[in-house]
Amino acid sequence: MEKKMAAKNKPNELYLERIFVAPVKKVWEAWVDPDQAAKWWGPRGFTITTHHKDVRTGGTWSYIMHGPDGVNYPNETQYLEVEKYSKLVYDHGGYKDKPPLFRVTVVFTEISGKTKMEMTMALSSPEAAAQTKVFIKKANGNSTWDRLAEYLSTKDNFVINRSFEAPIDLLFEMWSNPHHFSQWLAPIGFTLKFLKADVKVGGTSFYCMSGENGMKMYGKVNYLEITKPTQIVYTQIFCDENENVTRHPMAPTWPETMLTIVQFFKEDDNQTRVSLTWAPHGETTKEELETFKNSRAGMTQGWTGSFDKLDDFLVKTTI
Amino acid sequence: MSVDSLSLTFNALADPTRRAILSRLSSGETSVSELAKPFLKEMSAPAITKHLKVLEKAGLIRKGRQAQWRPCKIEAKGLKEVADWMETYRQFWEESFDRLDEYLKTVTSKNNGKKNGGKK
Repeated sequence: MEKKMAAKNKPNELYLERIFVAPVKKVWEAWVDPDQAAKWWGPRGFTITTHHKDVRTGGTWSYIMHGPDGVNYPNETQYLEVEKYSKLVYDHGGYKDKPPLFRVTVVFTEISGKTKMEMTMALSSPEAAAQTKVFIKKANGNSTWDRLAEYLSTKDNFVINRSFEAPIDLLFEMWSNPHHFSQWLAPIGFTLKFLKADVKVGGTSFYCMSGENGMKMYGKVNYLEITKPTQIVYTQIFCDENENVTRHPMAPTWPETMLTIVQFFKEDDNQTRVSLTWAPHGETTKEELETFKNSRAGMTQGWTGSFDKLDDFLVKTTI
Repeated sequence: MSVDSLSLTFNALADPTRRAILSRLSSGETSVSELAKPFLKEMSAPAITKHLKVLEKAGLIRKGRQAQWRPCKIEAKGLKEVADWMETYRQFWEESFDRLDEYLKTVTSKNNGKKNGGKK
């Protein structure tokens, strides 16, 4: 991986790496099958309509991206190189007379059941690369990889990634040290206080989140795995002030125990990507799982087929 | 968004028949009898009425009161609340990450400025 780091960055290129918890065959199919791609391609809030898709060397994919604001963006992807289950090279962002924005090379590698995706976007100049980087960030373009991770998960996981300008050890510290953690986690108007903190495998922390209006919510965290500086895994349950387990104050059928996996990836010496996965944990009832699935924005995942229409309806009525 | 209405909505959505009813209603309002038709093969009319009551109580559909034509329609607001539920978590994390971003700057500048950082 370190070797890759050094080789990745030509000044006119942007590089991105993700690991998906799925075999490469599944990742590849999610990518090339238009019905599957419709469920995750594009930034969060976007949907797509495919007119034609032929993932072969020399083939094209013609589709329209529908923005959350109702704006349509037609696209035509040209495939220059297609090696099944391992590599794709394509020109992205062109349409009719409009030249492509950049050339993408994606390499898929399966590592013990997981799939590493390495993506390089090549632009005409370093300036164009810098501009595109800003554009992708503004358009929340990388959320498409969170959506793919969610789509590939078996439990309808919640996934969110963010890169920070700081070394990996510091990011790890921000999560593993309760003093730091409580400084930034709580929403505005709330204070997070650890009443007990035992951050080690098998240890438990007990916290209180209090609002300006006097509302108090208590929770317990159990640490399942702490691997400095790459991973922290913990479960979380709601409780009362005496540490007795309670249900979610807003939704009693919400899963009792939620699992959070926080992974840290070194992107360079002063840049770290945090990847957060969130899912129901342990013995969940059918009702709890349904509650979790139904709560997804847009409801695209748990409700398939005939529910697409309902989605359209909601989009139309709620804008 | 009250506690009760949200859990009622989640419960209502947990059933496949009720989701199928909503799906049918998403293409437009229709009479109760028309709506029931495709389900009568699998269940009794009272069973369907019961499902409709659950959906109505959860604020997901609304039934008209006209004697002849009893139109049934979807209530978008109820569904929107559920659709927004996970979105509030997403927003929570996005905002926490923004705060972490800011907080990191204060921590790194302290570390660079003085050895042993410390609290003020």
